Amino acid sequence: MGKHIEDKLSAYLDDALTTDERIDVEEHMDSCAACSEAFREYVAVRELVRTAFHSVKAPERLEEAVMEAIRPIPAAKPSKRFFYGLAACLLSLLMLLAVLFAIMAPYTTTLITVGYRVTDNLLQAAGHYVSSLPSAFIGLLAGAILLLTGSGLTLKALLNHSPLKEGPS
Amino acid sequence: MEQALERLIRRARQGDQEAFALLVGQYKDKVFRYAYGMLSDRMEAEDVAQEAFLKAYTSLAKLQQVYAFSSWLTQIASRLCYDRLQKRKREQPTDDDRLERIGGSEKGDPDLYLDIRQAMRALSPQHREAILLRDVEGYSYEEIAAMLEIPLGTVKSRIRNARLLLRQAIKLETEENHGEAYRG
Ligand SMILES: [Zn+2]
Repeated sequence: MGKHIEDKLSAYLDDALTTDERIDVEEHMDSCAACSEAFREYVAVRELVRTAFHSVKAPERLEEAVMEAIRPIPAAKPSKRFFYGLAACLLSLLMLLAVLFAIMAPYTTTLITVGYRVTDNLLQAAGHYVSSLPSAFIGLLAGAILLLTGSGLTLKALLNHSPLKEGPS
Repeated sequence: MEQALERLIRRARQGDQEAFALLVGQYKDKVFRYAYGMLSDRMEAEDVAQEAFLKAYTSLAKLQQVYAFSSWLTQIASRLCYDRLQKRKREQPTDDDRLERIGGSEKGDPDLYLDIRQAMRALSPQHREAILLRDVEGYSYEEIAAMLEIPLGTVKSRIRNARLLLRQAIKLETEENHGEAYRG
């Protein structure tokens, strides 16, 4: 009766064997109690699992919940609003960067100049310039922080008012 | 696939919410029991099923073949289930705690045979999935290979191993539960 065919039983169960293989399996099972018992168990387990899971039903509210979630989508509205908000935020960020650049540019130039021409005169001039910097720098920094906070709050407000969170109107 | 179903899917794809509602009604049990089989938790399965339908609705335009709707939907649910399992692993290092918690919370659920449920939990997610897709939902090897994006040979061997392990686990569960029943 040849060697055991247990590893072919799964494919046999799915009718996925070639004709020759199928005949081999069937002939073997006719004369091998162990393999035919194993096959009966596979069939029983498949039946059990199928019955067990087909008795599982989705909760009634599932359908309603899904439809509730997709219904209030006024297609163009949310994306438009969000886009404008994003544009406003980007614009403030751009302004902030421009301001920062304006602060830093003369400062960098001075530093480079100082680095290249080490003379008493220039050092003195630089010293004078740097000493005048703090007040201007602090002022501009405060302005920058204000701008950043402003744009942050705008973004937050926009997200909070996102129409996705509004109920059906 | 039946003509009516195909029409329904086409209508839903064009944004017809009524058609989509009918689809949800038709597929909710399938998606839910798959998620339940994967996660062994009713609440989580409900979340996943809901998420899967929402995802399907927003990406219906991407569905290439209308006839493959069922596979496509199951694929979405499958990915969501793996995400959940991954998250679970991160949050709860020991799986045993989790199983105990679920076992405790589902005592009042007479729907599913205890032995099967316990035995399924003993399998890896991949093996559970193989059983659910082949033996519960009846997808072909080819459909499963496409759905999970794995070679056909892998599908065959995974199903074979899953059935072997499930058969062993059920024998074990049955013995254990009988023992418990006699003791208690
Ligand atoms: Zn044999």
